[in-house]
Amino acid sequence: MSYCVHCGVELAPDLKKCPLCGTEVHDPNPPAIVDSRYVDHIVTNDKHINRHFFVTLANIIGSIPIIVTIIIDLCISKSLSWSLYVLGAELVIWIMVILPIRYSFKCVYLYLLADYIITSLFILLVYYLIKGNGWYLNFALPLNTLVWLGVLLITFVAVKKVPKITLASFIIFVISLIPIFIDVCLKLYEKVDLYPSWSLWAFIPLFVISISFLIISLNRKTSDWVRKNLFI
Amino acid sequence: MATWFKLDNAAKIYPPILTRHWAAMFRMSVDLSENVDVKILEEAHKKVIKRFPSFACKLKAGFFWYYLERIDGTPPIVEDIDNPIQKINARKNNGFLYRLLYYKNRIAVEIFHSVTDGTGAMTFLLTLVNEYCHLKYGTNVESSNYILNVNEEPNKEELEDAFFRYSKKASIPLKEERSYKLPATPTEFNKLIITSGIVDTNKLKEVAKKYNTTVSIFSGALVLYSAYLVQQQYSPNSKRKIKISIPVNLRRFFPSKTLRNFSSFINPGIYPQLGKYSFEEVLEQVKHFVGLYVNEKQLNAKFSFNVNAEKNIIIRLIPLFIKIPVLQYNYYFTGDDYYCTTISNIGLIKLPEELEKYVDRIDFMLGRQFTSRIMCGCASYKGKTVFNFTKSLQQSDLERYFFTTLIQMGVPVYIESNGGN
Repeated sequence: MSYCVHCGVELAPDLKKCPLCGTEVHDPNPPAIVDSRYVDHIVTNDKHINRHFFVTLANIIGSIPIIVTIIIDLCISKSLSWSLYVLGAELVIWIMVILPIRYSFKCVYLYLLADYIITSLFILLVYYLIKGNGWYLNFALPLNTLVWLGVLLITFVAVKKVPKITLASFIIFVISLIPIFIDVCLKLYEKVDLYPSWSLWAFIPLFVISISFLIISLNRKTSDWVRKNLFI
Repeated sequence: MATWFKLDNAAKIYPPILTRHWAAMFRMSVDLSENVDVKILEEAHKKVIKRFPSFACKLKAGFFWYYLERIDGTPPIVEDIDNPIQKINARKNNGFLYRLLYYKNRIAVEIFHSVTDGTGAMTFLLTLVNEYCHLKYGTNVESSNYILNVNEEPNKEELEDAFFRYSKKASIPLKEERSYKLPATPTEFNKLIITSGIVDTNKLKEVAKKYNTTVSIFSGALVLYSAYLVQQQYSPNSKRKIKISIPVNLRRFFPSKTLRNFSSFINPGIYPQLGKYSFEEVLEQVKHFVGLYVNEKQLNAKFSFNVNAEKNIIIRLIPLFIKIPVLQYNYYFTGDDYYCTTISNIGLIKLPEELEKYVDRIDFMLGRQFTSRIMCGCASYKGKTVFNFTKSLQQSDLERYFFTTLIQMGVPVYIESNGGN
């Protein structure tokens, strides 16, 4: 028979500490066999999401607009024309959303590669359908490649588990480069001097914010102050 | 016999507020004098379930309301677990909304609140235990308090929505202040800590008598006083009223044999900013609150408001898919904000002598509410009163204050727990 010296309650023989105050039980003559009322068996409700069911459902729902638009397109224009936009867009969604849910690749970069390939192909499809005049190779593909490289860099830094403020600084820096990419790619398409012009107005403030974040992240005292005062 | 049942008035709130991992559940258990024979339990269960048609149901969604649909068979009898009162996985439980468990000499039933309340669940469990003892030991108790005769056909009154029978047009809308909330650091996912305090019923009665009150009011006041001490410890400057919830069995005031939900609640409380409270002062507050609100007229006016809302043709015509988010919003943001904890006392249970020798102990536990992470269930049997605090928070202050105050009053407490190892 043990009592908690702090609370004064009598404790069941299987208790090693008082459940009310946490005081440890010191019994000089502990009982040889201790029988507990409680079962040493924990069952937790299934946290698992039924991915297979979700993917099947998404595939069924996603295939409906494809089938409907292809049938209408074939009936009206006797060929596949505008329905290919729907098909292409659905393929992009499938690769970007459903693929990571359905297949668990260990290497996260494989998803990014698949995303790059499908977006490039979709833009190419649009280019051919609207019979573009050279903008794919001179503007769309370089821009898509540069944005993809930016996402790749962010992912590379994010998986390294760097501090959140450093990551934010890096993300803002990459975002600040995007207007420059667009500006340069437009100039490439127009075949004029590649020196960025209007994009500098977007780049400079974002770059300043990014550098400020970096300075904060490098100074522990400042970063602690920011964390303490600005947490959400 | 009907193949489906409408949910009773109180049960309607529980299905829409289900989350993936949480449901409003509670548990009753009985300790027998010998280890449970599962085969006999299965046999008894098969017989008893026929007597309780509203238990042999699964939850279905209609266009306007949820309903219970009769199903055949029984749920599987499973071994008890260390973290009970988990949400039932309907598929693993053959669609049933209650779970039957056993461990050594213990039989337990865990029920989703849409099926029944404490009285209905206790009747089901003790009828099952009676049938089990009849098959195993040849006992011959036909019917008694909490025990139904399994050879009789189910009575129509047992399946009624008694709220509808007794509701009146005159009602009082529920307007309550929000309560102070106890500090709560959640435990790990799905972990439920049980702290059971066993006290001598006669000693408890003596102390309650000393304060000129009943055990129920005394226990309620003690929980409120403990919550007040927790508030004084953690946030003495809080001006929120400290309130607790005490369920009230309506069968005491409105005679009904119903095995569905037929209970209401009161939320007594104190204003901590008015000054320091002694236990006697808290007890007086609770005693007068009970006197004011636990009477036939006030209780009727309270539940009639909900019944009248349910009878409203516009509310009835709103499709379920619109009702669900409205009820969810209402519950998640305000549902259990009106109290910081609950103490539910099932009362003194007396079994026929023939059966009593095979039943050693009866426990009653409440599952946690959506935001109130600690609850207390209480049952008295064979001279012992068991207070079961069930919680999914790390702090132990409420139950510590509760039990240490009892000790200071001269009532020895024996503690059991799954959280003290």
